Amino acid sequence: MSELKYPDDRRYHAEHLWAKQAADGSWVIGITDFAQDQLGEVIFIDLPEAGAHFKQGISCAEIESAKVVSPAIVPLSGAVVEVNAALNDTPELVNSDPYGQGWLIRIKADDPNEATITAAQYKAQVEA
Amino acid sequence: MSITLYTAPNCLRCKIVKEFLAKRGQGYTAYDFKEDKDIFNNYYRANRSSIYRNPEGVEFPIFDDGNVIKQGTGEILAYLLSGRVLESCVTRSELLHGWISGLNVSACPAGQEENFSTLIRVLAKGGLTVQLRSDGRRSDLLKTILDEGTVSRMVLDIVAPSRLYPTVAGGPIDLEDLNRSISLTRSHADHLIRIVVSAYAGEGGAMTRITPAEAGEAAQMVLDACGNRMLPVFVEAAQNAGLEPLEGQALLPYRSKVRNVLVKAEIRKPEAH
Repeated sequence: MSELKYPDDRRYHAEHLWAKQAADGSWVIGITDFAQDQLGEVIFIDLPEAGAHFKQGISCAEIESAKVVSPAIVPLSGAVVEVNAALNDTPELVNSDPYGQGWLIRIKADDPNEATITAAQYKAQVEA
Repeated sequence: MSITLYTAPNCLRCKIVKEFLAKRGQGYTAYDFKEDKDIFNNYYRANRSSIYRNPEGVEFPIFDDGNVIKQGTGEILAYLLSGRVLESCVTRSELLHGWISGLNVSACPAGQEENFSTLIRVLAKGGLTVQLRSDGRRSDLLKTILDEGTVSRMVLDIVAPSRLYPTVAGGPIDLEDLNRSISLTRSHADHLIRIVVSAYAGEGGAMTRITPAEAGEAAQMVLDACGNRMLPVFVEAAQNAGLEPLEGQALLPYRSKVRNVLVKAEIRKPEAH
């Protein structure tokens, strides 16, 4: 099995999501390589509507594989600006490219300084 | 009407349904959720609100004939044998890992005995470990099925005192019939007799629980039927949606009322599967 990756160009949350700032200042959010590996092949994602607001630590979406239904816990509080519509037809992008095309939502963060963890801290947590 | 099955690799429950269809000469198309993932994923997305997931994920096989979506090997075979007629006695299995439950001999409608027996036989011969349930009624059919030797565990549930049986179980209970069911159950190597604290739709439709006094009445009915105060029974609360779970201390008044009659009564916790 190839080793799971945790790029350090973004921030992480203990509940297996990452947040990366986009050029316009908004934050793109997705699940980690570890999370997609645990889920197995994703077959459906119940995404929120644009405009919805979520607090850090709250689930913004349900990710379904044949094995499990898992909540997607947002790493930063904020309002949804855009959801990844490509996931409606190709939810497996979450498996094949969790840090790229498999992103879930883009949010406008309430407070960009909200506490998160680094790639190294997240890696230490999942490999503990 | 064409039949489609969605299956998982190495799935015994899927194999049983496929073999049953083949034996009856009924054609079907089967898709494996891994090998044919695009087809399965499209189907899943279009029908996910109708698809049941057990604690370990989507329950396979999924059966779809264009009219209904069915899951659960027992329920699918019951539907193939007699449409919706067996739905009262074949319900979702709470057991996983090679076991199957949800088979209530007492609720078998008149005229369906042959189909119900066939169902149990096919499940057992297919490799599943069968848990059969009775509420004390239909000891005739219980005997026929137990004589075949295909039942691995026998559970007898006393679900209410006699006067509430029609409401809670769906039909009246006869003491002779109950006595025979008790004997048959006890003659099975792996068996369990429970006084169940049932919940049912009472007056006005609101969910109501059997009271400790009513559990005591149910125990008295058992004693009247079998004459054995030492009969080992367990007091267990039925798990019901919409009512607070009944556990621990809350079951003690039930146990004392039952123990006044059947002295070996013990509290039993619902099994975690």
